[in-house]
Amino acid sequence: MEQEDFSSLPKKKLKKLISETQDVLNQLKRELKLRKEGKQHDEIDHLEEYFEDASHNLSNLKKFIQNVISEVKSK
Amino acid sequence: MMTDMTSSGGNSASADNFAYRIFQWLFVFFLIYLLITAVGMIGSGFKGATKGHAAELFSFATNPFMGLIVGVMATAMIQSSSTVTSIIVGMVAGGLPVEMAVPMIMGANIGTTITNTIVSLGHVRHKKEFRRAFAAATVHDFFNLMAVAIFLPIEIIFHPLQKIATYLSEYLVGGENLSVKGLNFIKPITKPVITEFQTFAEMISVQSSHILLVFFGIAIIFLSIIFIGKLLKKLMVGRAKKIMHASIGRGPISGITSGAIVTVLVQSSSTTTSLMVPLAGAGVFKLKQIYPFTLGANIGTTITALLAATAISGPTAILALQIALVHLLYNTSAVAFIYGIKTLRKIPIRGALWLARLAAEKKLYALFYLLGIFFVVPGVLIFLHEIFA
Repeated sequence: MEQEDFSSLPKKKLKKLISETQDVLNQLKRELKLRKEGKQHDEIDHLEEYFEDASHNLSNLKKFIQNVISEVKSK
Repeated sequence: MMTDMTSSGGNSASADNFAYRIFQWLFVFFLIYLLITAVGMIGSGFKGATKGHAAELFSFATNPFMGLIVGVMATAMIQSSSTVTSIIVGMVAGGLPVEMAVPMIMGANIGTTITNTIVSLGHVRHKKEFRRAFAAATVHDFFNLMAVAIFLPIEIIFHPLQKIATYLSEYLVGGENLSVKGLNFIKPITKPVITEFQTFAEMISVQSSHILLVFFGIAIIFLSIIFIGKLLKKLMVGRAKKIMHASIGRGPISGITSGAIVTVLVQSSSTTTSLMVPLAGAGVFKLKQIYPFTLGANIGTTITALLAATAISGPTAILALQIALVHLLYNTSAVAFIYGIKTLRKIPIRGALWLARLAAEKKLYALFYLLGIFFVVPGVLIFLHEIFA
């Protein structure tokens, strides 16, 4: 991003600019937070699937041990 | 015409659905009844088998660290802290001293964390995802290990949890003459089934009937908790969703509360904590958000021991309630103390992140950790105790 020269700006204008930038920044942060929370709400809507996944312990363990074995063999 | 047919079909389907839900709820209540009866069976069988010498039978657990290890290993093997704590409640009612049972209860808290760690292993194929999932699972381990490291020595020396639990249980059930007025309605409804099982056990072997009764009790608790969990997951998923939706973006206290409520609804801390692992793995929830929810699960799971304590009536009811209250007090104080102090709060997060980074680089570390913390270290300690004690 190109650096702008603010040295010629009067103090009042500079303050106004800071305040406006702050507002935009707050809006952007709020938007980002909303998007993140929206994604979290979407995932929670699939809670049934996560409940189901949580009960597949043995297959997880099997998958993991296979992965460990192949990792050890490859070295 | 078409609309009418559809609507009448829809009504009939929803009526069927309603009836099915009612049936499922009735089955849940029946399973809770079985759970309570089974705790009574363990109490009665344990009392008969030890003939008032339960403390001698568990003399190996006079060393609190052994009690802790028993709790860790039993829970890690069964993968259900609710089952282990319910069995402990029954054994306390049958004569196991409360001070011996306290470290076992603390051990159950550590042992139960194996389930979500195993769930996190399912993400092994994607490095970044695995790192996040493993950290979300092991933050629970670090917290529970830390809680034991802080609270067990204090409990051994000053018994604060036991003292408060004694005071509360005396206040709740009237303790001066150890008569339990409020909970006496349980005995008439559980006694006939316990007597039937007692008779059945005597038919198999008169000499070992009490031990058989304990085994029947353990098996029934194990099965009823599995089925209660399965049914409640289906019945409560809608409510759990609402609670979780409501807690998003509301900070850690809301996270702890929703974790506790969801755990009470599904009657399993393993389910609640495992639920969060894939959400963390996908990167949708940050470790900082998962952590309080996991702590809430620790508090919510104490409801099962309290429920189990209602199974016991008579003079030992107060002791059963004491150990159930110790479980509740321990978990709530650990959350308040460790999460309440900023410096302590960060330790489990740092530990989990460090371990997850290591495990993501070399999966073998994750395997060593899993076997080491839940089986090898406890096993070696038991072996050393057997040799030197």
